[in-house]
Amino acid sequence: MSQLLIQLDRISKEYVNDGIKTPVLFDVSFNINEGEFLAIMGPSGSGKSTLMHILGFLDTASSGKYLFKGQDVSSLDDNKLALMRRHEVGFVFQAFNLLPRTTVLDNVTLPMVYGKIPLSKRKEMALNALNVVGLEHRLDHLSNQLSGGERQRVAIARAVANHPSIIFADEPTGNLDTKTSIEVLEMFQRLNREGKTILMITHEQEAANYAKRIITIRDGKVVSDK
Amino acid sequence: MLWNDLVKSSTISIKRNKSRSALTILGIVIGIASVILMLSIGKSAEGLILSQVADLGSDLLFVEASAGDPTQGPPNPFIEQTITLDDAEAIEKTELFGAVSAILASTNTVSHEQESLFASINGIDEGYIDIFPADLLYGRFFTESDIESNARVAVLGKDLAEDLFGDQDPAGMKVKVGNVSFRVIGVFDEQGTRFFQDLDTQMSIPVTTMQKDLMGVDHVSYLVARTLPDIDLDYAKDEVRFVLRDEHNIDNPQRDLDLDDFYVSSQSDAEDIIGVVGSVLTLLLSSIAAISLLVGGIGIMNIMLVSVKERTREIGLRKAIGATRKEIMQQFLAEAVLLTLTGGIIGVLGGIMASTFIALVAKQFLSDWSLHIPINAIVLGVIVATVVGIAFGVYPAKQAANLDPIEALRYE
Repeated sequence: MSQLLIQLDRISKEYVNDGIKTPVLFDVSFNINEGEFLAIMGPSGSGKSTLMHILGFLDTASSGKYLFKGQDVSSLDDNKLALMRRHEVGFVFQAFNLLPRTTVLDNVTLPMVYGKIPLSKRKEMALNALNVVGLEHRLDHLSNQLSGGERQRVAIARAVANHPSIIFADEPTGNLDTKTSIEVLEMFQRLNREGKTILMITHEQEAANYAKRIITIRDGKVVSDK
Repeated sequence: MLWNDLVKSSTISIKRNKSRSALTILGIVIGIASVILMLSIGKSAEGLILSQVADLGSDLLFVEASAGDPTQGPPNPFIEQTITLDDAEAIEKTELFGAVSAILASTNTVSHEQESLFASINGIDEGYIDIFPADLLYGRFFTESDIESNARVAVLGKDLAEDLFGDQDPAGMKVKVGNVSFRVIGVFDEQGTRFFQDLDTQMSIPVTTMQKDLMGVDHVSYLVARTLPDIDLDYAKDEVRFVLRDEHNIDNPQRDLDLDDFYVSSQSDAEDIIGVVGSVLTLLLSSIAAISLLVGGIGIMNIMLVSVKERTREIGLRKAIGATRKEIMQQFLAEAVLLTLTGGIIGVLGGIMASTFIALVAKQFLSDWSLHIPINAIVLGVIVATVVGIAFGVYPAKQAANLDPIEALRYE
């Protein structure tokens, strides 16, 4: 029986700019269990990115309750949010966001710098992570010497290196061609089969189809969950 | 963040922009180098001056013509020549001094046959050698009768004698000063420098001859007196003032030094003045160094702000993977400090090199110049560099720490 990882209870978010309130999310409620591969789909402007930011501790909800592993994280301060990101979450971004002109090894060990992992353990952990994405032979290459697909695989290695509870992927195939997109999506599927919980944001149905569950969002509301 | 991670990430980002980093720290390098250089030169110069003064001995009094106290305010340009040989005699009568000597100095052409050169000429008396002991290479020094009779005799410095006479024995030879002819009665052994004057190129003649035959004056340049062993110097000074006011008919019961037409000083006064000059000079150079460090610091701040802007996405990423505000702040502060510290260390080395070079050059002209590398200045330089890094790194580091991770990640 899989464990409950995330519970969202009527999460709403509105941005206030010059006194004008812009609502982005309305009463979003769903749960995520450990071991799920969930895709959140929706057109641009639907609020899916905001939802991921709240789930990934980069932002907080205006109202509603967010329980992570049973703990209420709705109103954590900046510092505690940073610690949650550090210990519970791995991110994969559309633009890869690797450190420029920096070796693959240093990129993958970056989360360990903040996790205060001892220096002696880092290389082994990084090698394990790179092994998962098949790039262990690229250890000493600089990030700008890699192809787009390889960069995203390094980013995935970076996301899994610290053994987080969940991996958030924000349009991970948005900057990739079809062939490498499929490679990356299959990699997520494999990671999921190995037990990783994955939440992927996408606006492409083909990409979403690789997930086991798809939540569709439109105008800040959940319109389907299957 | 662990210490070595902090150092490593700072080193990497500084190395990533090598030439920019180098240019940025130039201001700090120059600032710190000039601190080291000026303190080194100051120390060496002070040591040199003090060694020149200390050679005189601490029991000497000097009496010069003066309007007012030269340690209070700028010197008065309208100084009458008020010191005479009578003053010397009056001072001698106090019985506080083992020797009193009057000196009248000038420069003139000194010639022998075809040789002719410009030299300092000192009018002195028989007491001079008791105050400034000197050996004679050969011949004799002036006697009391030489002085009283305005004898046209001369004692030459060693180098002057060699320049004029070469290998010849100068004793009994004639030298001319202007049109006046003198007989050489002796040559001093090597004496070196005193008050930055090369004594070996000077010519000495009786002070009376100097007054009457060469200059046509009644005054002397200054008096020197050596106190007897048990006499307190300040007491002797007061006595000399008392005697001279009497001699010069000055009514000055308040003992206001500004009313006197003479000034009595000792070696410790000279040391005090040198000390004051030294600290004014140090203050001046320190403010130049401070300005250069300020400008350097602003340069660091500027480049750190550029760096924060350029690395907005990187900061966003670091925040996304769990860096706290404090850690981002630490990282950028560490970078600024590493920059300025590198500048500081290069500056210290540059300052030492420049000081050494200047000492080598100065030695050519001033043989007593010695190289001082002030250790406290090096420590100070490194500390100042670190402080500049922190002071000017805080603002850019705060900017970095306060970035919103979502916006930073999207920044193009």
